[in-house]
This record gives sequence, C-alpha cells and structure tokens, in this order.
Amino acid sequence: MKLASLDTCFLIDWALYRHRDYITKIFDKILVSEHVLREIYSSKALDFVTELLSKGFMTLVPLTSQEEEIARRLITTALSDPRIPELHETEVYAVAIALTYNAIIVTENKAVLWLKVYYPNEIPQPIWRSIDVLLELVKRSVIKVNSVEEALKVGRRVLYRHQT
Amino acid sequence: MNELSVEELKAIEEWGKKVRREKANWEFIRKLPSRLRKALEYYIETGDLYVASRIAGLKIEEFNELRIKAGVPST
Repeated sequence: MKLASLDTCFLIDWALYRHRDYITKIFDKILVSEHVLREIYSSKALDFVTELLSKGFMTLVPLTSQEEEIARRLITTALSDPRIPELHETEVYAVAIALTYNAIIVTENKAVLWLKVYYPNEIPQPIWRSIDVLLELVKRSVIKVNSVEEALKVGRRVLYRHQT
Repeated sequence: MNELSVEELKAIEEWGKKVRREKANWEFIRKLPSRLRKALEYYIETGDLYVASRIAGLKIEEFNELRIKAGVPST
C-alpha cells in the first residue's frame, strides 16, 4: 500500500490544481494530522479535503507519544544546526507520521529538505515535492505530454499556482 | 524523487528567492497595511509560508491567497 503524508503547504497549493484528484491515482491513502486541517479555510481546499476524507482516501491520523517524540527529536536537530531553517508543526508532524507509518513525505518545505540532505538517517523516507508528484503522474501516463517542453510547462504552471 | 545535493538545494533556494523578488507586484505590496506587507516581504526573502502567515496573523491558506494576489510565486 502506497501511503503519503502531506503537509499544509502542499495540500493548499494542490487543492488549486484543476486535476487535483489525480493524486488518488498514485497513492492508496493520504495521511494528515489535524494541524494540517487547522490551516485551511477556503471552499476549494475544504471541498477537496472533505471529499478525500469521505471517500476514505484521506485519514486524519491521531498523534501519539511516538510522533511527539520524533517531532521533538527533529526540532532539536534543526535548532542545533544553523544550516537548517526553522521547522514548524505542520511539516514536522507530517514527517513524524511518515516515519511511523512508512509513508512518502510530500512537501516543499525547505527545512525538511535540508534535514534530509544533512541527516539522511533521521529521515529515511523518500520526500516528494510537487514536481515529483507531477513526474510520477507523467510516468504513469495519467498526465499525457508530447514533449519535455510540454511537461515543463505543466510543471511550471502548477508550481507557480497562478493559472491552475 | 532523486536525492537532492547541498548544491542543488542551495541553487533551488537562490532561484526561488530571485523569482519571488522579480515576480512580486511591489506596487500592490507597498499599499498593504504594515503587518501584511512585512509578512509578504518576509515570505519573499525566505519562502517560509508558516512564519509569514504568523507575522500576518492569518491561517496558512489565508496568507497563501494574499501571496497569490501579490503575484508572488510559490517556489
């Protein structure tokens, strides 16, 4: 079963994408913490989330002492290393959930990306950014493109989130 | 995904900052109340949506909508 653990920033941007439901074609289930839900309010994002939740495709994961411990460890690591930007609750719990349930981490967060670079043993799980999700969709022919240029155009449009 | 190297990640960050600065609608940003303006300026420099939203006193998604109105790409 292919699980994904999402943070808020990815989710709110992805909810603006007109083919946002494509995400169900590459993951079997999406895991989020309630921290993620606290940060959304628009009808687009709420529609997307409630649809996924009601179909059982998204699960609100209760945080246990295990995730709290992982989060505390990651925050301590980030705080003690000036090369790592600040780590915040929405992404740190997304990582903690991914570590507990062996899920792919889906985030654009720089602190998480830097942690993965400098402390790969702390985050053994793969991290996918939006571009990686899009590439996977292209690889599986969910998004059909005729050329590399066209693929880049799709990627740019989604990444800029102005003309979705 | 392919594992990112230190150099690649640094290049992504530099590119992101450059694009955010260039694409931002500075005229729009300058007219905003101080708190929102500062939050957007912080976001443009760091790309940190969470802290920027806290400076603005908004939820992350509310701040994200302001970011889009200000023409600042999410990079």
